[in-house]
Amino acid sequence: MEVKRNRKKERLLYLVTAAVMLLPIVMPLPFPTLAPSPGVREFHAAVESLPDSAPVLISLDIPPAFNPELKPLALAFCRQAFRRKLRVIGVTLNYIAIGSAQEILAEAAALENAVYGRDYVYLGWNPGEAAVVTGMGISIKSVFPRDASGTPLDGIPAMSGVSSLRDLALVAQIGAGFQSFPPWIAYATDKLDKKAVIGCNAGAEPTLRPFFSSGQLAGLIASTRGAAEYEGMLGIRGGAGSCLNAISFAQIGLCLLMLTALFL
Amino acid sequence: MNETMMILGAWIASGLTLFILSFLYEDNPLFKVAEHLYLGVSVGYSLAFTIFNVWWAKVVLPISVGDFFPVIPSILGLLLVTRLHPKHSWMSRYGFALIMGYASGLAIPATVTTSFLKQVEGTIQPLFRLAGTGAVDWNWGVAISGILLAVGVISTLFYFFFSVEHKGVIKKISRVGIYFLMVYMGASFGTTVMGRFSLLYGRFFDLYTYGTPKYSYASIVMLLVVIAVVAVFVRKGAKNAQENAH
Repeated sequence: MEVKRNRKKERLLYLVTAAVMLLPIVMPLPFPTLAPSPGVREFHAAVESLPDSAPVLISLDIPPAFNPELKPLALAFCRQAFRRKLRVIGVTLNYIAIGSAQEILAEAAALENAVYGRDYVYLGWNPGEAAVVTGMGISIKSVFPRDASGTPLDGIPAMSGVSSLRDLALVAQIGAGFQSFPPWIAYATDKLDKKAVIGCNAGAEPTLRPFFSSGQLAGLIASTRGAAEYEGMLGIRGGAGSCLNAISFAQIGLCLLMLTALFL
Repeated sequence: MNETMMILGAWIASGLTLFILSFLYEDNPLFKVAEHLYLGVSVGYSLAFTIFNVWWAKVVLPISVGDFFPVIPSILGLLLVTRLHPKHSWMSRYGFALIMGYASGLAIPATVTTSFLKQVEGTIQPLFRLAGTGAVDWNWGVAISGILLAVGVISTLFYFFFSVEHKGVIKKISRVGIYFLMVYMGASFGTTVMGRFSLLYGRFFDLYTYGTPKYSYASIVMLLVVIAVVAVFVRKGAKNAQENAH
């Protein structure tokens, strides 16, 4: 009997959670204007301060499960880079993120009229993670002799003047799970003294925040809230703002439920 | 054709999402179908990807054009399989030795420099700075933050120092460290919950999108199917339980 009652309470909890999450989706609310937090400001400034045609590398390691949380951030970064007329070099260290990486680059390019080959290139994936980063630190062509579609790098204007990570103006990584970030921090930032910015999921933030506080990272955007602040700075009405609305409703609803359970 | 595939994809996505979510009510065959499909697709994708993008691209193709360098690591990799046969498992030690050496060589400098030395440097922050004119550049926020950081790191390290018994002053300091750890755990849990809500939003947004006429009301139809199947399954389960009781 006790188990049955608990099961009913659990189901009620799930229904309430579903209802508060669905409400902002069915009845969209205006986006809140969020003041950008320190890591977001620095992230934006790191990209904004680069000269025209500067090459930047973006490692898009977003597993499909984390698309709702990280795709808006990745899109916003690519759009800012294209607006600044930077040359974007895309790679992926996580093999299940290849599809979403290509999708994000293509979508951002379509929105900002960027041309493949001239404004951006996607190199694809290679096994090894840390070995890929250290290899690119010596020579990008030794790791990626061709781009993802098989074109030799020599013939791609976006890669002109870029032979290794040392020639890049900025290294960026957007991914999920703490394991994917150390290679870039260790071998691009600390070893080669390259400016690096990271966008991560909410779960990885507590572990990555010390790297931003110590100055190893030039910028850090974490979770949907950071992405919403970043979109606000760029004037983009993207997925992060609407996601934040829904999350806020859900978290307030959960807190009210917990308080109700405590006092009733 | 593209539109048909898009609509079919929407039906499959919404159906599988609802199958998985149906577990929240009761374990049922639809959930099991989705669960096994997920496992099978993950393993199948990983296997196919490894064969075509690693084995074929990095071993077979280079060897076919005369580059025999991949033969050595390939043999060492295959020798790892001998681990399964006790009599011949000694051969796997060579492959493991290379893996351990490579992993250590890559990980140790990174961990020591990035995660340890640079973090120690970042922890020792000055409470104030001297400006060029000799005046003191004092900021309360920076000073308090620096003290809090130092106290937090030192007290947490004290908690994990087990060579000395935790009593007296050491016990008090390690208790402070526990409080800092609790704050970290709470922040970590809170951010994880927020992350999971983001993922749930993504699924609900897709379900809402796939419930529109553009996708032939996929989510709505699949929801009705799931409710019907789960209701029949639960009713059948209750009937069986009643019969067993008699």
